[in-house]
Amino acid sequence: MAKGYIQREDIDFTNTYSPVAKSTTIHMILVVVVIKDWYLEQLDVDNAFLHGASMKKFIWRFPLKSSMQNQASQQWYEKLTSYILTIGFIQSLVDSSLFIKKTKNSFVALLLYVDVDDIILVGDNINEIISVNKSLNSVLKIKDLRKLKYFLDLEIAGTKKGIHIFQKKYALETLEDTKMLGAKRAATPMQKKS
Amino acid sequence: MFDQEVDVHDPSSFRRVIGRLWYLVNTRCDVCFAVQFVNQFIQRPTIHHHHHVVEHILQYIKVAPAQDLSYSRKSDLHIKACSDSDWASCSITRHSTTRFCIFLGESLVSWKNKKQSTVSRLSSKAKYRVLTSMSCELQWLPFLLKDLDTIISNMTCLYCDSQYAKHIALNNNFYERSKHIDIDCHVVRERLQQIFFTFSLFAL
Repeated sequence: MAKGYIQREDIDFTNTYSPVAKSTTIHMILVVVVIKDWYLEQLDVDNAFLHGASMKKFIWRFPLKSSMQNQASQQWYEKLTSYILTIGFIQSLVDSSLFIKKTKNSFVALLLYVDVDDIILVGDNINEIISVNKSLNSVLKIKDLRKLKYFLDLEIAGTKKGIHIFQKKYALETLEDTKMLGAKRAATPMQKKS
Repeated sequence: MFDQEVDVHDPSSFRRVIGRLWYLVNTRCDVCFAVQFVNQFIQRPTIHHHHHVVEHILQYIKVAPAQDLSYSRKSDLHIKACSDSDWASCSITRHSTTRFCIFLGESLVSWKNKKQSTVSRLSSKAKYRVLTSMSCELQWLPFLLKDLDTIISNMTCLYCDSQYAKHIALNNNFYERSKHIDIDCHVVRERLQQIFFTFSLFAL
């Protein structure tokens, strides 16, 4: 489950059916993207539309009955998955959130997580990415296509030499949450045995 | 063991912080061990033993909140995996710790730092356990790379600091003394025979 830390059992979920965000997959994709100098784009899906797609007027963020919530996001996920498969993508066997479309002169991979409003597209051919964006736009309301910078609380910054992934915003939020922003610093993650 | 200690007055917020820290491990392998350590006590955290550990982790994060993972453009596509174990490191249960990290070229892509689920009487057994869980992780990475239209340039290289573990993996004979690690042996050896990876020893 992506961002599992904000969920509470019985309120946010009763059973987990949706694909788990494997951090290794994300890391591997980023490494390959950097080495091969691929495009790394993010589709910003309009939130209200996204969750209203399968139910009438359904506002996701409100604490409704968990089964309804489950159903809605599951329905949405299944609908989108089947659409992605019809436009030429194949679901990866090693990670079910990864979809691949390979043609003679282009390669596009798509990362899709339930409960997350972004879709990640990577590939070697920008025209192909744009055309995937267009066909997704016919079923989803996509705000725009832009360079990937922030995804699943990971910040991604590109430089000439490569890319950096960090969670500065998230770390600072955690410190703020715990009122530790003003605390003294420690040189090591754990104290020595005393 | 910690019964006489004072409980944390709000365990649910304590758990929430741990949950947040777990997510931070996505880019911070340096706090991985500390977080997994304190994560064992979420059922009934005490102020002295656990709350202070969490505070210490947060103080450490405060030093460099933007610590990053860097992926270089000029890296090759060669999977390297390093393993280590800390025998009987848990002072309460005497379980050992599994540690490994996997690199794709120069880039760190996967790591684990976790207490093993059973006690090992021999340090070599603990080491071998690490090899097993690492080889399981290593097995699916080439498939993922293949899905990403990428071919690895060299065979996966596995680094291990135990001569004994290496001998068990490479040697086809079983001895009575190594019978207890039968299953783990087969897991690693099978993959070695399928030429999933090669073995290297750290300079000791």
